[in-house]
Amino acid sequence: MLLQQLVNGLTLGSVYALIALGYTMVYGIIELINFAHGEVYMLGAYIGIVTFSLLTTLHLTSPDSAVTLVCMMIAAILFCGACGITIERLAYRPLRTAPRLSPLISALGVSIFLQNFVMLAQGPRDKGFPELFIQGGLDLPGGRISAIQLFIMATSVLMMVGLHLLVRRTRIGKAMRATAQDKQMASLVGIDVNRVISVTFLIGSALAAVAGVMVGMYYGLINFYIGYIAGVKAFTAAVLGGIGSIPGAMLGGVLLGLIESLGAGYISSEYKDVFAFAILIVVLIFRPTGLLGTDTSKRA
Amino acid sequence: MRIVSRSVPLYRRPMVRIILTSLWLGLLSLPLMIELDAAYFGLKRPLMVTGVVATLGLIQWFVSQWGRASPVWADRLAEAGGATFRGLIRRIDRRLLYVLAFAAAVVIPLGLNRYYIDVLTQVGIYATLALGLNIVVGLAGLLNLGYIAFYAVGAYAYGLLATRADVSFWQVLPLGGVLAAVFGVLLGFPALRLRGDYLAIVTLGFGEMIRIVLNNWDSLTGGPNGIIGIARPSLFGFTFSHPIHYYYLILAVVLLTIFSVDRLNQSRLGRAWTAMRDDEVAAEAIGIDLVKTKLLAFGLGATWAGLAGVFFASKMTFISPESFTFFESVIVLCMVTLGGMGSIPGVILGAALLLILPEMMRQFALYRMLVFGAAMVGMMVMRPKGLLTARRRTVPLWRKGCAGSTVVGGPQATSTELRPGPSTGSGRADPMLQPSKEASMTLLETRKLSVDFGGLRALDMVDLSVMAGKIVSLIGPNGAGKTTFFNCVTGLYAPTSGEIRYRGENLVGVKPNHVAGKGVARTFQNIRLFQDMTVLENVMVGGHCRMHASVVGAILRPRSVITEEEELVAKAAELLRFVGLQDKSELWASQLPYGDQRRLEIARAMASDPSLLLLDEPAAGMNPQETNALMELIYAIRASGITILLIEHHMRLVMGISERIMVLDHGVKIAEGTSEEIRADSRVIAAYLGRESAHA
Amino acid sequence: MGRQGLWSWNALAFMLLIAANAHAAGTIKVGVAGPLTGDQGALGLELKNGAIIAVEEWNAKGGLLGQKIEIVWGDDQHDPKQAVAVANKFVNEGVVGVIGHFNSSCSIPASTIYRDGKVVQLTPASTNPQFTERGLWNVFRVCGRDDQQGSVAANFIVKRLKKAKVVVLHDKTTYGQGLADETVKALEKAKTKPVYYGSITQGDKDYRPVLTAVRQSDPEVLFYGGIYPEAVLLTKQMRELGMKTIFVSGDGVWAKEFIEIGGKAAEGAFITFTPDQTKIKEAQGVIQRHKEKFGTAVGAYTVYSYVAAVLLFDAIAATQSTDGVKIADHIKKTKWKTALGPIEFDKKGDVLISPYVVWEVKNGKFVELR
Repeated sequence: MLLQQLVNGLTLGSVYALIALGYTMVYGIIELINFAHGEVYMLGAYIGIVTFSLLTTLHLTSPDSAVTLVCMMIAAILFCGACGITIERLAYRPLRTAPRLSPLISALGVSIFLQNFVMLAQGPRDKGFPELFIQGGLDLPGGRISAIQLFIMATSVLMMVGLHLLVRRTRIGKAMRATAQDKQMASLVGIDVNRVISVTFLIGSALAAVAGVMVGMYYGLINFYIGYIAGVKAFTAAVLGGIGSIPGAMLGGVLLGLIESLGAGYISSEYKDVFAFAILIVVLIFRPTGLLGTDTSKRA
Repeated sequence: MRIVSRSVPLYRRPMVRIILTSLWLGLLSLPLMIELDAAYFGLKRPLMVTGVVATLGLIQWFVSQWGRASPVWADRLAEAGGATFRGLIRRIDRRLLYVLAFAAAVVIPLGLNRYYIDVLTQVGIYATLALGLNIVVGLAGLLNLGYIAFYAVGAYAYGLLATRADVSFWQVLPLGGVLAAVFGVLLGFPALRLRGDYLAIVTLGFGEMIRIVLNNWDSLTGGPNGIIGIARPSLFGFTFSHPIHYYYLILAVVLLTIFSVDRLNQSRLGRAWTAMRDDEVAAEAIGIDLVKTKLLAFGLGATWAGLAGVFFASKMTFISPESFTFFESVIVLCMVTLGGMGSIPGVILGAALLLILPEMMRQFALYRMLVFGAAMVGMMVMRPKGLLTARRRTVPLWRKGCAGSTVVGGPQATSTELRPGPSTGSGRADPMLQPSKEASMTLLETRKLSVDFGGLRALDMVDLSVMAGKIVSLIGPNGAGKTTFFNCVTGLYAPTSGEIRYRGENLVGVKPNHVAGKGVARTFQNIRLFQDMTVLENVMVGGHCRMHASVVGAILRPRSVITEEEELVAKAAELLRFVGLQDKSELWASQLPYGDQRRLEIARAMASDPSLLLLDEPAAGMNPQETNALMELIYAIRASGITILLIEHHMRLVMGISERIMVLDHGVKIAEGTSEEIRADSRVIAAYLGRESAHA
Repeated sequence: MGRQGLWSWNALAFMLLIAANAHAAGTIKVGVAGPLTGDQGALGLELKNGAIIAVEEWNAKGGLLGQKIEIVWGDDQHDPKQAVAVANKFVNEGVVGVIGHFNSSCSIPASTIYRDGKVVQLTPASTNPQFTERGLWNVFRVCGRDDQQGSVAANFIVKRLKKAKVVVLHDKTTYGQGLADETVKALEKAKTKPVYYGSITQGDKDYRPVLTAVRQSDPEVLFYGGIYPEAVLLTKQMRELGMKTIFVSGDGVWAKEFIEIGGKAAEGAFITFTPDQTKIKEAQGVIQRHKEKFGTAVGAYTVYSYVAAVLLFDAIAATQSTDGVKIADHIKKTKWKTALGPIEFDKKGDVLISPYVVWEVKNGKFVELR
């Protein structure tokens, strides 16, 4: 049972981590809790379905080929990336010099808008996500790992490594880090801050899109409301790890997944969220900036 | 920074941008319109939604252009409109306005049907909630995303007591408030060390935990079924049943809330909250107890939620955990932010808007939440600081006499005497302060004081003593550890080892506010004034630790509190005159020129009646005339019986006024003595100019 | 129904739209309330469609008391507070009766306001016993009660399936927990104590942790009190974890999505629900019309909502009155023949005969067990 719970927790955790990355990157750069991020993830899942039904009804690809999955991912990434940039342009950029809570409210407005938009466009009922080619699983002595769980974990790790390399090794990554530290200085040394912020939203949204498609596959069911809960959980994960820190988001996501799964499995399914939050609070009491976070508030 | 002119390329013109944006939004929404399920397939729905999106985009973009790249006529109109409106309000006596608003709130519902009354009652509930949250978020600057939990506490308190113990509404109403306050303080404890968004998530978690417990503790709370059949309140045999009864009841609660919150805001506590929001470090350094102040903010904020909760339970006669979700917290937060944080009319307006708008939009049916979401974005973009921005009243509305004694530029203010002495104002002069008694007394003393930052030793075995009644300077090259020394003395840093004694009392491990309370005040190298307060208030908040008004006192304002406050205003005015800022007391601190800001910081520090004043580079950035004035000021301060320890790079100033100078270099005290001795000390010269020149 | 019929429906719908927009005087207003938007918008849609069909039918017949029927919508977003606002709005606008609300947590607080406003309330979906247990004269429940349904499910598990190791889960909502608790009560009466009783969080997507824990007790049957999205996830994840447990649930799961999305995992599940509506002659009309008008099969609560509306209209027509007390009286003393079969109400406003039977998912279809 323990092994099974660990597998469950790790899979759930890697999904949280992928979404948490978007939160943490945006936070790192403009100190905004982007409450609309969960909705971007939801959009990703829906675009996945739309792409799938287009491809298969037009007989362009067969439902269980890998090409279909790749097309779904790419379509979701492109669409969500565009959405992320648009949201930033319309709802956050005009508020960049406003008091801190204003963009937060704007983000909530975007979130309500997107949820209701998808409800109107795609209908309020739950939608089944197509079963793709990844089937079967591995039977282990203490449990079972399905192929899709392996796929999710592998993809998440791949994305995170990719993101890490991007932030650490590339020009744009360097520009992002510089902007995160000091927007004014960054613009003085010739970095186009607006572009960097757009790129951040693009990358964060793309990760959320991938998470959306994968979660759709994993659970086989989506609705217009999935972004809300996933968003709150991922935000929690990002703070647990130390918001603004990329490795922190990964760690926080995986930990939260494990806490939830072990808490639900061994103690009580009703109170699993209570445990998750209690652990978060305890962690923050001893490490007020999360597990891997650094204190930016006293920087003056 | 867009400037509309002929040379602007076509695609940058506002109208073109609006069209492009809405086209882009329409395009972006198209993929989601693909729905192969027969139920939704058709052209009408996609076109409609795209239409809505494009229209909203159009409105929103237009709104975001407003005041930036908007045509000149729009600017003028907005300005003229704003000015006229403001002028109108200013001309009408404020009190008359309040009376009119009150009369409207009482009379109008009589002509409304029960649906509108019910909506107004909800506005009342949420206005109470939002005013309470405004204390936490707007005044104290602590982001709380779990505020609705306190509302739940109040509601369940009444629900349980009424159904199980048959306790009456009127008994539970205060109890619910107190209970919620207790929960508020409980939440406050883990939140003490956290800032900003970490605090946000902890409060969010707290709110969710309360809701989950309510939903799962079936034996107590009824779980998801909630509590049914809660008694309606009754008074002398009259039972509240019609919506209008509830309306008047909540109106009373709202008025009580407005009254209390307004008075709290204008009190010692309100100033402490604002100061803490602006700058925690400075607030603590002038003697504000952050722990107490934060807990009070949480507790007092929660109280109103508790009251609203009790009322809500009695109105609904049914409660279940569904009414207390995270989304509710968010909506209340939206009311505060949208209406204008910190502003009482603004917050009420926000509550009214966020409740009445969706009700008005019921005719949009399915589209109502879509439009609502977009409207939220639009309103925020249009007015980022909220619809009505908060302005602290410059002089509190105390009763008669108060305003007279503060008048800036009034008869007393013209007197030019330079040394009124800060302690004469309060009449609370410390007997220890008498120069005769303490002429030879050591006021501050450190022994073997060391501070390590990681591997770096910022202070190394520093022995230092300051005699009472002297002007002592601490000098040394950049990075010598001077400010670190100040931070240790004022309790901001904990020394790694060593002793700090002030009048023989240990200062190590004493919190900054208590250090200030003991009579050590300071200024900061990088000026830390409270930008959101006026000059006068900045000085008034400096007197915080010498005042005694309690929460109850702040709300009820007994004679003693009024006297105390009047004295404080008088003292602050005197201090401003003392530093030469008497003409600027109504300005915002941020509007002052640099030199004035330095002087204001000194006045603020002196408001706490210190015996020892630590000045961190007071002459930085000053021209020679200003420096001379500063020297005069420092002498005057000393003459009033305050000992001065000063960090300064300005050698003319240091050598001119210091009776004793100590030199730090790389954390080590390398010299001590009079200005002549220091001028001659080879190690000092070496430290400042480098080794070679010392040998030369 | 021929093409002409279809046209007339459309024309009617159009007229209705105009009538609604124009707020024309001389209409009879009925309130329809439920979660029309928000996360339960899907369920609200079922309620909405049923009411629309009933109104269109009656308006085609010439309306009520010589006037057209107009629907006033009340979106409560399954929020009790909004339900009260909706109720006040309805009373205010002078509706003659209310179809709704959907959730018990909304129906209950709203009902007292309807009583004060002398308005009859017929809920098509609130199954919590408390709705009718408080002695209000104006409330009716067209659907069954949790306790009625629970005993059907328990009997089925014990007597028909003959299984003893039962796990009971619910979604911690009024409906889900009510159903699960009533089932447990009935199970215990039949001397079968559940080996595991617990809840999941509605809206979560991953139930593997709790299922993994459930698996330890090696259950033969899992009874779930809740609605279909979570049921789909539970069955799928159960099968993924290699569990062969039989899935039994209540009417909240009777939705086409349970089979469509659940696919193979849904096969062999047992659901308690009303008798096959397609076999009731009276129900054919509404099922057919739903298909024509909305292009989909009826949802679980569509017919309930339709029946609730029809009962109300019939009672108004029979009493020739819009007086709530008279209407309620008439509904209570009449033996109804409806699209759900014959219905009779007791004093409290509940249907007399438990309307529940057991269905099985077989080859991608719900099949009523005999």
